[in-house]
Amino acid sequence: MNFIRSFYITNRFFYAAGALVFLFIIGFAVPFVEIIALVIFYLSLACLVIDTLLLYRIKEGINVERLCTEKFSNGDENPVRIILENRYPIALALQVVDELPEQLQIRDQVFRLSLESGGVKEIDYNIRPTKRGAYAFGVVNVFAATVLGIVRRRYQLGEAKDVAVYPSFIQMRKYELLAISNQLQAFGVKKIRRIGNNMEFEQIKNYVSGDDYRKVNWKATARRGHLMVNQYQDERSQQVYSVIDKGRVMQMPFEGLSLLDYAINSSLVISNIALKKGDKAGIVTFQQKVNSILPASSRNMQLNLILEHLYKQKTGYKESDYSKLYIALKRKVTQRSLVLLYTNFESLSALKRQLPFLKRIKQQHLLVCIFFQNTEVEKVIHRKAEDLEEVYTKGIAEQLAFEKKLIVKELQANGIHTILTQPKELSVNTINKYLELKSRGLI
Amino acid sequence: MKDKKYIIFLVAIIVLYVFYELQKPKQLNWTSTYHANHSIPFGALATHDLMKDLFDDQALTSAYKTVYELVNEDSIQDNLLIIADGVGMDPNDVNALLKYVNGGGTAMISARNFGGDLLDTLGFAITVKDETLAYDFEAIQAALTGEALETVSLKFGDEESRVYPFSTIATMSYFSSVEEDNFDILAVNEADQPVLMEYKGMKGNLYLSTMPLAFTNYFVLGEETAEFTSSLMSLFPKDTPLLHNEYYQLGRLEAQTPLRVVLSNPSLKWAFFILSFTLLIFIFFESKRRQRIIPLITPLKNMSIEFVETLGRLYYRQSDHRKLAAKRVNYWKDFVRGHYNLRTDYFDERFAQGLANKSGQSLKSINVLLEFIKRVEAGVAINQAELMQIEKQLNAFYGIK
Repeated sequence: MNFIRSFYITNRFFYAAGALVFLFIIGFAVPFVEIIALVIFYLSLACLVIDTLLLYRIKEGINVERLCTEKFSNGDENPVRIILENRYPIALALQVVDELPEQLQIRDQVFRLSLESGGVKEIDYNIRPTKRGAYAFGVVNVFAATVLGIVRRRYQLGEAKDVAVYPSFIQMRKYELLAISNQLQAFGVKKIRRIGNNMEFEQIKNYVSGDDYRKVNWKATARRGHLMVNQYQDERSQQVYSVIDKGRVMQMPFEGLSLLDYAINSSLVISNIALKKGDKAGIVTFQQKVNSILPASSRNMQLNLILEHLYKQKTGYKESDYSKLYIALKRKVTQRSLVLLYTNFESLSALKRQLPFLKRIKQQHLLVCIFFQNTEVEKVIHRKAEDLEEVYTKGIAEQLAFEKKLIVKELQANGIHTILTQPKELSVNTINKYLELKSRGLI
Repeated sequence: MKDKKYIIFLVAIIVLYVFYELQKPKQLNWTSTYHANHSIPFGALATHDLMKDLFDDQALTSAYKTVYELVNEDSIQDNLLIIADGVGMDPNDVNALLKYVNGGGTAMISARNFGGDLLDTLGFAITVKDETLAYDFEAIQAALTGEALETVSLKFGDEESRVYPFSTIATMSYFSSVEEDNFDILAVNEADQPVLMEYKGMKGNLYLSTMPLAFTNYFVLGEETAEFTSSLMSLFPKDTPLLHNEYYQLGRLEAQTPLRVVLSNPSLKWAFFILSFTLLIFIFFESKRRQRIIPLITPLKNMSIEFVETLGRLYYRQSDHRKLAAKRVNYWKDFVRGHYNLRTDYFDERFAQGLANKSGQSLKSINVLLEFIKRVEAGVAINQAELMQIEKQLNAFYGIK
């Protein structure tokens, strides 16, 4: 039974059969061809038997191991490695079909490689999950064929394994290092001129370009022989709340990832940076009611709590209720905080409905309203219209894009900070805003 | 668990159906085949047995060829009995038949219906009372068990006429408009219409009958009707064997598949067997799974474009070109303010020059665009062609290729 299960046949077999049929048909007209065909037939049969024996002579001729991390990062490329070992005394042609988690919906991934006797090879590939949750890998199917290549033997090796897909911790680490090492400029994070600085002295450090000339410490410069500047402490222990709207408007996907997951990824990044900067980070999620509040804190374990908290977020994409959000913030968040509200407004009227609540929140906290440019609609704008109907479509698309800018103006007119960003750029823009607000001392 | 439920359900249905089929009263097969090996009511097994008695143990042999083939290719000497529901002969067959009878042979054609050249050549017609009755099993059964009887009177030469009761099933047709000069009437039905006659003026004998069922098991084994059949048989000379030609009812009985040719040649036989075997292998091995089943998950779809297109279509139906142009100008003004930091209150010479400098477009093309924009701003009606022109100019401005 196992033999039948693992026994597969290659195309070469069918080509040979086709050729034989052709030869026999020719043999109908030219008798001597029939003899040739008969000889070839018996030879092929012998090859088939030999090939089968070669493959099935050894019990476990191939060894496979799959290596990957316990956790995957959502929306990023996560590496997976398969290690293959050939224990046959002959070289093999292998086809490797890894049973990928079903969420990826990939059915055609086949790796073809040849492996000499006793050889070891690695296959590296990346997978990009777009949903949080448990991803189940199956076994690794290896189809082995010899030089004859008539028969294939299937090995089902490796282990089934569950991998948890977490909010993007890869992005988190990337931006963390950059924020600490002040290299964010390279990624579009700009240096903000500091007005109204905190005057708490911290240290004297070497001057680097971009530092304020007025902070040059001339005495220290004279002693060292090169420019030194005073550095002042940043304000610390401020609260940063990432408020995530889990409502209907956040369901829209861009590049496979829903806006909600973009927001979750970005919340993780910004929380991490806030913690590293000595601030307290917290999470609030809501839809038709406030679902969860993780109070802001700067304890050591806070980042892990945030990661787990974000990992298990589920949503029914209900209509969000901002009044409930306002009440919850009023009651639970008593200290003035930076509130980063991740949501999405598609039209001015949608904003107008929620504006009263936003204004109330803004009275107590520093509110940053983060919403998204619709890159799909922008694609329509940047396309040439061929007929009148398309001109109309394009005009409407332009109006929608224009309306987003009106929303920004409307919010700014009400003293609410805004970030209008492409989904892809969300993390960078949010970090920028955070650093800007912090350096301006607005919290 | 769920699958198991379905399987049990399926098995139950199959069992029920089998049970129902077994319970059902068995329907007799009333198809008329006139075949030598069929023991169904309208087969001819009993007729062949009867022949053995009549012809001194000479079996009645069967042939499955046309009369033309029998006469011209096989040059048979045997007497010929043709029994069929309907006989339609082409001119070749008719000529062969007449040639055979003229050569001294005896032939009898017994059919419910005649067609083709035979009618014209010999000069008679046929009337069928109820053609559909022959294929309606229930009607046949009802007619046979009921009292629907008809008498057939048989009279050979100077003999006294004999009367046989036949079911109306057997006497469904009769000869009509017979040219009296050509035929001797040998038997008539109750209405005095001929059902058996002989064609005159030939060296041999050619008999035509409209009662093929008289040769079937049912009537041959019937007490009163068996004698009628043996009387008919006695018309054939006893010294020559009799050939039952089943071609006109059953066709050729030999293997008729195109494979006959393929299988007769060893080379083609090899090719055929390899081909079919390979196909089996293909179906079996290529349908095997190469990895586990991956259920279909429909990914979230971004419907923004559909939304924009629907809105666009609604506006398009309205076809308020000026309103749309105004929307486009709004966006353009915002673009100019955002990208080139220019005020968009007045579109004067300075503005045009400034925009040309900052955008790198020629002053001329900027002015053309501004003309359109000023018109839209002024609230002048815009027609379709102008809207397309604006699109063209804006594309040039935004650098959309």
